[in-house]
Amino acid sequence: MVEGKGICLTAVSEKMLQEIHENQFMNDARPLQPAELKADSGFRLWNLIQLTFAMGLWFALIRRHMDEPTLQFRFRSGAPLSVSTRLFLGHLMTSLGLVFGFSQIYNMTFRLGPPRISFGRFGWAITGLFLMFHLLASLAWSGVHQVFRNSQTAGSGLVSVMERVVLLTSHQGCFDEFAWLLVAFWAAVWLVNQAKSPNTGTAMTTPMPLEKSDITFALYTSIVVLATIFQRVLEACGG
Amino acid sequence: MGMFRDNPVLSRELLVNLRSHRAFVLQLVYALVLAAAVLVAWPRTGDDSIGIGVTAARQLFDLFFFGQFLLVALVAPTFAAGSITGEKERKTYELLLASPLRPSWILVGKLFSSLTYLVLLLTSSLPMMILGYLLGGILLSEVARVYLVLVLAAGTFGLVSVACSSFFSRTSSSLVVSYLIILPMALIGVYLASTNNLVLRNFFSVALLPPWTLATWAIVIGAINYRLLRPPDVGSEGKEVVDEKEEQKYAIGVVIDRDLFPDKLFAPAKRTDLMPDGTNPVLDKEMRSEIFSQGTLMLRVVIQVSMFISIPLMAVCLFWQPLPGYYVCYVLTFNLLVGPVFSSGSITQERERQTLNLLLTTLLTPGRIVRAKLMAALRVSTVLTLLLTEQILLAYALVRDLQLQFLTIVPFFLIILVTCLLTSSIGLMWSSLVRRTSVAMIMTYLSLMILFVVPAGLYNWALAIFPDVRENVLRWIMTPSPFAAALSVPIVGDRLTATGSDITSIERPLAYTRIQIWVIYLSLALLLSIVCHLITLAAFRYRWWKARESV
Repeated sequence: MVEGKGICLTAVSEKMLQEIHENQFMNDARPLQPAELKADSGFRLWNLIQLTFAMGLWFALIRRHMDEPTLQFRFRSGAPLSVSTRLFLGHLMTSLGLVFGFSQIYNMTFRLGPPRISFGRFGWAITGLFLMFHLLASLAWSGVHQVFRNSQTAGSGLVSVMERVVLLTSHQGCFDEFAWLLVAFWAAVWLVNQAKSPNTGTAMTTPMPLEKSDITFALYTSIVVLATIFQRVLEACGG
Repeated sequence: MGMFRDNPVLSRELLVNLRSHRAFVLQLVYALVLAAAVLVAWPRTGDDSIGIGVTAARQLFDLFFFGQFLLVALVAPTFAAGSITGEKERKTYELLLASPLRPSWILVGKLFSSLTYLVLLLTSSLPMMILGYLLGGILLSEVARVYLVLVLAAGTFGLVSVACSSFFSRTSSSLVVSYLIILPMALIGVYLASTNNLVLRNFFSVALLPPWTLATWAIVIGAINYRLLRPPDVGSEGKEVVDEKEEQKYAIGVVIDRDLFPDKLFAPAKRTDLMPDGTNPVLDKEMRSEIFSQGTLMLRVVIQVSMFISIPLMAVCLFWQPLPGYYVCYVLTFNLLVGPVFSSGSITQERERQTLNLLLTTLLTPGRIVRAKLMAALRVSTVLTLLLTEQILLAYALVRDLQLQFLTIVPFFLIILVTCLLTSSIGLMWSSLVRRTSVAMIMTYLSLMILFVVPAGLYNWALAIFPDVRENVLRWIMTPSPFAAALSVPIVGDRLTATGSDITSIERPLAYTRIQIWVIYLSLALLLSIVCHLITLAAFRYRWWKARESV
């Protein structure tokens, strides 16, 4: 009986039975080689969906922001190049940070559980939470401010003000303090890894094996830091 | 020159293909259709016909170019995508590789034999094109440029398809991946060819296209030669079922994990326990073992390519301008390409493996078997298609123009779902009517083209030919097309202030009724799906009855 030949109507094939047999009797004899373990660094369909979702969020934020009268006025009056780059890079970083950050929080909370926490996942979770708190705090302050002002002028209703705050925070949030926070985070981890035990003089922690989330988080951090530097250089040059 | 003159692969394929009656009939029909198009479009006025002649010539020229470009994009893969997989399926691949022929000779033989007939068809249209030249308004250099573009496109599309054929073991997989790779190239080609910017068009066709094409050819030829020289898929007798774990070790890009969401929606994990009571065994076997028995390479390529194409499309069609109908057209095109792959081989593959009679002699009724086949194909194609719709949901949630008309999302999703059902039903119908998977697949694509694409062309042609007939009457021609249905869903957006009209002509109700194309399409597609299902059931029941008779 062969799988996939159209005649295999029973559930368990010979090959499967052989695999079960091997797993039962071979695993005790020798540890599995890395290639035999289920790859954890694979790029899964779920990641691709998240990436597409982040791209959609990025486009949507840009679209909403470009409809804002203030930005339209700035563009009409010849805004410098740095306004456009901040618009595109800021929203991109926020979208990626929010989507992948919350995905890792979801993974840690519901799918993988606490023992599977790694450095990259931890970094992504902090990124997602930071961006969400940053947006919520800005919203809250603007809401309080709006209530105190109790402004009734056209275009300054609570919802439209909130929306503007989201857009402005989202396109600012990934620069400056956020970039340096990420650098500080990396530096702190490096220092912990370098720290010597006071008794033995050996390293306190053993570096964990590299995972997909570590790589993606490192990539994201690099882009945020480089984008910040690029943005600052552009503004310093008057662009 | 020996590569061409003394090439046994090329000689054999040309002899087999060109000596068939089918080749002659197809060429005759093609020439007759083109002649009829010229005849109908030829101006009938007398002395004051110069202006009309120029317009008619331009229309003919555009019609011939775009029609033939579409033909090349659609037909080149059908000829070339099975060139090497056909050898694998017939178990002659290893014999071919073991022959003293060089890989480059095999490649040239396969490529030229696949494309010669297509180039022959293109050449048959040249006299008709020259007739258009006689009407005036077209330069000979334009005709030459058009044929240069067509030949380069045929070469590129053919090479891509041969490359896919060398990488996959089934023609169906090779065909669908070829189509998906060719789709963005064809879209860019059509966009650049239809632009009114003459400088851009000339620059593209004369300066940019030839070197770019030659570079692509060099890369693809290198890849195919390498593949033929060091084939990893020889000894296929023992490797018909791909070990997924082994495959995932070397997978590039997306990895399918059948235990996790959303992968398990279209590829549930293989069973390690017994089936529960009441489970349809054919459905269980199809979903868990059969569809991915040849590995997940095709699926992974399809998912990645389609998702990456969707990113720029959603930026333009959903977020830059609120035109979700155009994005839905892309989703439908994806389903049009992918849907038949999973359904048109459902029954023919049982025949090819000689397991159909065995299946018929089980206690399962024909209705249950057919339903299981349909459900399996429908589930895979629908889930894959719906993966592309998260962008639509996001746009409706975040774009203000679309938020204001949120209910229009319902017809879009209905059109997508009904189209998934229709493509799978037609595929399954052809699978039950013909004997070979490749034939079933070609017939399915042909039927879907006639239903989905031809109505749009006919409508445009009828608009030019019958100016006296009202436009809303002619629009009835487009009712079988899901593309027309998607574009007929009224999206107002900011067009009211921009152009002064609230809706485009395709969004207006049809003549004799007050409903739009998409409503008619939904009813028609459901009806067609039921008819296809009944035909499948009848064909299958007949075979079942015959099998019982023989027992």
